[in-house]
Amino acid sequence: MTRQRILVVEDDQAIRLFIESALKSAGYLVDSCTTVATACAYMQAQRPALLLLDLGLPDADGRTLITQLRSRSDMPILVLSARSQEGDIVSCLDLGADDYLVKPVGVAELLARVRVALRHALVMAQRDQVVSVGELVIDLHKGLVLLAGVPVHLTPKEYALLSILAQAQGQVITQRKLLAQVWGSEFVDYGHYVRVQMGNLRAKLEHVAAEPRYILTEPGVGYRLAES
Amino acid sequence: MKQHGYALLLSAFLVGIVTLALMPIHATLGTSGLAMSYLMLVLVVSIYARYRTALMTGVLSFLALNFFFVAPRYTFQVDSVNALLELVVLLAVAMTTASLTAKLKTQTFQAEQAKMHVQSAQALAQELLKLTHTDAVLARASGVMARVLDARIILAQRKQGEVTVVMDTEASTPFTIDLMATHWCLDEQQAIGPDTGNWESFDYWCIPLQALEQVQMVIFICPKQLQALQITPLSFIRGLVDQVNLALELLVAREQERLALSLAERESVQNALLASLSHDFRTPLTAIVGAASHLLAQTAEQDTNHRQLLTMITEEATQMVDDADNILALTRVETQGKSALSADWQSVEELIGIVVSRCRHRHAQLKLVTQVAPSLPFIWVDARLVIQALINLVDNALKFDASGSAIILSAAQREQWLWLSVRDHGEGLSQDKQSFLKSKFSRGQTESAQPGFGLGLAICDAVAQVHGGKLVLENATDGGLVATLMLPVSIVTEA
Repeated sequence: MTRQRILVVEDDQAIRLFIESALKSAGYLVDSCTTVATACAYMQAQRPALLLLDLGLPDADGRTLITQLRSRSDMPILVLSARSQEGDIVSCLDLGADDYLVKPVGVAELLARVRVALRHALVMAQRDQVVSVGELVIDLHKGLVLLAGVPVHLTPKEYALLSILAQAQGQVITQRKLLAQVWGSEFVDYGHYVRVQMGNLRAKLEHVAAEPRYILTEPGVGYRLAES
Repeated sequence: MKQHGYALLLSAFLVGIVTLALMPIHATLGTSGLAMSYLMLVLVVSIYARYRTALMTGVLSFLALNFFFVAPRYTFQVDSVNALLELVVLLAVAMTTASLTAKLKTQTFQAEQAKMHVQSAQALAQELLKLTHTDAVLARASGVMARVLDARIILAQRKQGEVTVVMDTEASTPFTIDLMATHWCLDEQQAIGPDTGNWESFDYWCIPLQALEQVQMVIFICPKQLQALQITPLSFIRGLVDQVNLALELLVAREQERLALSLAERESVQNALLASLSHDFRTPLTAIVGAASHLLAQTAEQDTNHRQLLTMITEEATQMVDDADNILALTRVETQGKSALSADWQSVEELIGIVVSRCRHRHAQLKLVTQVAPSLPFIWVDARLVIQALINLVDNALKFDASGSAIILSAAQREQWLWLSVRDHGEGLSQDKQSFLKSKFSRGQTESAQPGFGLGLAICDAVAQVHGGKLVLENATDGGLVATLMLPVSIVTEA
């Protein structure tokens, strides 16, 4: 298998150094640049498999790069943000970023997210029909949900939410996106709708609802289905 | 009486002239022509002179026509019914003409006066609008009102029961303020003086200024001519005072707006500062955590010494990030209070779930048990802050519980309060230490090997308070400490 190429856009030298080094030792080819302008120029000539993007860049907001890129490419984008404000993260995801990492981030987490994002890009064409995590199996083709081999009865809303998460297993889905897809775009600000349904889902799927293993909450951002 | 005399003399003179003028031509004119001539006179008089002169002219015309021209002439006798009828009609028409004309004149006068009043009020409003200070408004208003009303204007203020004059357009002339009236006027917030229904015998008006809430002030309007008390309509005076009130209210509103703006500005500067501080903290720590965890991944399993050191670097750096987060959160909550919250309806179960996963992520060996009551209501809170507070409580429990038994994280509703408790099995607390512990930077043991700035409980307390709740620390009956974040279940939301 050919080694995949990752572009790292990060202006802080120390962080760039550890990311490059970690990615290289995990077997990726790594290029890096420090500004939105150089990233754009690089993108004209090369097509990396993934973009790892810091938001606070010296010449422009990293979000402008997401917008530009999404207009012509499905390349996975991972946002690396020092901002703890969820608003920035949510806006990046809404603009089309695939996932995010909040600084400080450990190598294990970084590599796990990179793996998930790359795998999703790969299977985009040939959609996975059966998703599983732990004892939970979601058959998207048949519309079946099994827990330890036993079918679980879900309401249409619960199944709709779970299937959206399952299609993007391991990746965060913003609350607004869930609301827009399940309830309709006029409901994007009714966050408690999602919370109520997630509570019901967890009651049916999780051993201890307050210690979820399958449906994980990203506070202020959204939800993700755990990876196997 | 003197005025009546003048009116009589004038009308007699005019009727005399007309009678003399009619003498030579009376035969040609006939009785009706004569009557018309006299009516003409009455009309002219009623336009140019007062109502009573016109009335007298009418009566005298009637008498003159009867005496000089109606047969038998030079007597007040009338020999035909026809002539009598003509005379009576003349009198009636003359009276009507006089009174109609008088009414028209009064209406015209009133309309002009009303126009003048509106103009004065507008002019006053225009002048006051330009002023930017309360004292300037009061001074200008007094000046204008003194001129327009031809009156002396006095402003009196009541402070702690004492009434003092703060402005007087004729300060040189002594004036005794009726204290009882002033107090009454301020207490009842009603005007005093002619036409007001209160103390009508006064020869001045006293009207409260209602625009300044903190300042109790009345305005005295003392007309220089007593006649003005009757003829100046109260509505005009009230109109002027209303303009003053409006101008003052506008000033107060502008001041409030200015304050709100400067507060918002300060908050946004502070937020920007906090955000950049957070960024500046995280960037180098990210490099440290990242580099250490990368090295850790590269280090062979058997090299335990290096692995320990690298793990320590990672953990300590992560702790620093937490401390920075705590300081920033505390600063934000304490300086901005409720406005720092980004609250939403949150599921308690979900909040607990996040706390558990974050704590497990940090302490791999953590023994944590959750006890969440079924069907808890949603709570209106800032999720980040509540999560942070609960993580602090769990961290605290870990630090001060050497027993190694499980920490219990529980959520339950008791009446209108949601109890989010973290229970350890350590030594618990002595009573006097409880309040001391909550103050910022204080620590359970003054010199201790335990990490942290001692900010944990202070931020928990601040988070509880900003949500309208409280932090309760109490010893469990069977040993250990229970730290509870009590949050109100139903807070009226401010959209």
